[in-house]
Amino acid sequence: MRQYIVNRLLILVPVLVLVSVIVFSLLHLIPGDPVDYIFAEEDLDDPSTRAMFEELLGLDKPLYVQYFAWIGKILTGDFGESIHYQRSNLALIVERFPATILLTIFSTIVSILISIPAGVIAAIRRNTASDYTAMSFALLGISIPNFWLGILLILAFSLYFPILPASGYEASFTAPWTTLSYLILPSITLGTGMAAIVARMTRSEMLEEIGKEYVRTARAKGMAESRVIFKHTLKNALVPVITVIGLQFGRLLGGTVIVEHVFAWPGVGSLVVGAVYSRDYPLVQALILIFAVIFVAVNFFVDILYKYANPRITLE
Amino acid sequence: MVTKLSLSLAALLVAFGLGAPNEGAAQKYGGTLNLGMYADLHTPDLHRTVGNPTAQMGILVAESLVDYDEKCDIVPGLAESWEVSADGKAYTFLLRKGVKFHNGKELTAEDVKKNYEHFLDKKTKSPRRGNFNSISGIEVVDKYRVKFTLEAPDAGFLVKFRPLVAFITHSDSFESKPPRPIGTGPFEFVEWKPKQYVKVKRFEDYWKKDAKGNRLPFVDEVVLRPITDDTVRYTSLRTGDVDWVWTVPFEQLEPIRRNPPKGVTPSFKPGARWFYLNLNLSKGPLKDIRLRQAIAYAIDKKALMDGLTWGIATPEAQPYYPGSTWYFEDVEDPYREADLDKARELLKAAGHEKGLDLLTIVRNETVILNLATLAQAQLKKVGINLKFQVMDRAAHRSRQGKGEFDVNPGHLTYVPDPDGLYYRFFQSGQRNNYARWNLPEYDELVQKARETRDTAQRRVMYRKALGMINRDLPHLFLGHLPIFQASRAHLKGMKTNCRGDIRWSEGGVSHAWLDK
Repeated sequence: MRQYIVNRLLILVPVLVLVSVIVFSLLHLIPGDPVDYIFAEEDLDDPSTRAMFEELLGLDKPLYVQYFAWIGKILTGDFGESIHYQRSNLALIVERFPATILLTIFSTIVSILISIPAGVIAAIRRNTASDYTAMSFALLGISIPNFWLGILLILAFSLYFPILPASGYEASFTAPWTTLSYLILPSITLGTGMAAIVARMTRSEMLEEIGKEYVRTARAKGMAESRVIFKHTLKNALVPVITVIGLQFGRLLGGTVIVEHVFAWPGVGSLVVGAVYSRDYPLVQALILIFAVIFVAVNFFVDILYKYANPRITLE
Repeated sequence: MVTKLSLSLAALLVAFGLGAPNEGAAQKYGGTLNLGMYADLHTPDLHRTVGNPTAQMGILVAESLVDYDEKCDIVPGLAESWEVSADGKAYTFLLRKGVKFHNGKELTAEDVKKNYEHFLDKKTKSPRRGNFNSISGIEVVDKYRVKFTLEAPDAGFLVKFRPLVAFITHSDSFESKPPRPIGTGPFEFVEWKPKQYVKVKRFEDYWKKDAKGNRLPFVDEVVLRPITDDTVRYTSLRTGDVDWVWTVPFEQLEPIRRNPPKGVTPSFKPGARWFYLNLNLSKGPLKDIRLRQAIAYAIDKKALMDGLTWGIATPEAQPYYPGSTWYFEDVEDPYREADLDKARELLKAAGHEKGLDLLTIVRNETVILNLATLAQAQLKKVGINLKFQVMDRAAHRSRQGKGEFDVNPGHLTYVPDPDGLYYRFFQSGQRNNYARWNLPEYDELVQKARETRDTAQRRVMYRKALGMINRDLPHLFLGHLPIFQASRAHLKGMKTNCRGDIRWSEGGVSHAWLDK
């Protein structure tokens, strides 16, 4: 296990180097730079101020010099300062992460609560009305755009049955209900889309497992059906499902721009998009590096879950 | 046609109770006012502002030497008057006495000097620096008098001290970390939670009183909440989460007009934002004026404005809106209605009867995408194909600046002095002259206007300049977008100016009160 962790950490090094090079080059390849963004406001455009910013931001130097200057700083733990917000990148990211983590966890819970039972029911009652209903809803869940569902939920639960706030964010341990009231609608919006994918995955994996001999043996032994399904079949069907959930979880941690936009949720998604939009090179680079680390960490965690779901899997 | 249009606009204004719908009741003090804004700040540091959302928070907290009135003309602000030297190169401002900063210190000429020195200091990294680099000297004459000297006369110089841009803050707040502006405005800065809200509270020692002599402001606290989605912002108003919203989505206009939702008061007034097509004169087919005229004839401005804004924008052939000091009543617009035959004739004469492809750079902003799409559909009728390249703001700025386009659709808001508009956008060699128009006769005229201070004389010159633009068509004016905002019925006295600013010399949040 220890060797496994060390290997995983070693893999992180080339991943980060590669990510840093790709991000850096891509960002500098797209037309327009941070100074263009600032000077998109017409009456600001002034050659001497432009030159001042180019010099201050080091944009007047060759690309490789800029790259190594940045890497040098990163190695000393300095993630730099955002051009647009004029604040430390790390502070900005740390400020936004709690909202994203909270939303990610709740959406994942919502999606698991919906998808696993739906997938299981659809599989054990294959080709019946329950199967068709569950899978039709799953198809709807995948097809409905997030922003539309979000707005619909706001209209329903904030305007016509005013029980929840339309948008906003608050996180407080002393007022859990307030925290939750802001969380419910965005979590449902995100969770249903994710649930749809997981439900379909659960169904197909369950169907495959149900047909296997050990299930027939269990049933032949006279084991209760619920035990056959939940203790044996589901557990074996879960490995690929966990992969999907893990990937989705990692993706959500990278921010969910549309849902953040609709619910005025202060997550990292809008920070990334805003940073790319304003060509805030230092902030985009810092964010992508951190995302890469998180993604690798989530995958690592998923691997550990595999072992729990299927003890035959060894982590080496 | 013109009469009919202005009549229907007048009818609309009446329908929305333009003017002062909320007068009558006695003002009340207290309460929290929640504003639904369209975007968040990027920093509360008022010497490093870029963009309107930051500036809107700024005008609640800090003021400038001059202010805007309802028509967005320049009126006294922190300076109660000013004198301009005979050669137009020196401006001396007389400050109001007894104006206090939020830290209790009195505003003096020394503070003003420090502010502009701070703006100009490279270490400040102010994107606004360029606004002030024509200043060659700042001198404190006495405690309340400060003198600015310029390298060359500039009739538009006062505008550089305008609100939203040239904020005067106390030097104690210049380098505060995190930034915490200390101004003289009606509200003190409390806190900024990025993407959540910015909160300001009443400044008890604010110097200004309203027309009835009431001390200002009325509300205890103002919370600006960034709600970027138009529909959600409007829904938040309907649910009562916010008391006022910056804009209402165009498509909601008709339902609100017919049947305003309970508790919601819409307001509608002429606005300063105008739509245009920029045409590149420096390269490509549009060097030929006949093709630019063909475009102008092929565009049906009324249909375009109606389609774009669900019937609220009005077609125009000039940048200033009706009612502005710089609006010209006598502008005749040969392109107001489409004339497809003429457009085809011109295309044929220019040798493009078989069609013409034009590279169009489109900023990925809904309203510009819609504008470009509508223009594309109209121009297609005469065989002009707008080939789109859609890009974000920074990329667009870069391409626009390099002149890499044939057609460039867009919109611009109020430019407070015509010099900032006719000079910056059309004078040859200016960075904002994206069309790269070069007409010595125009340059000379606008340079002369820059050196003239008399408004009547300047009007004559700019009227002539506008005629040249409409003749040569580096820029096809399409129309103006009125301002459409809405509030809860209990919010009284909230009136914005021609730009939609949430505070101006005699109104806005500082004059609003909650009747509940």
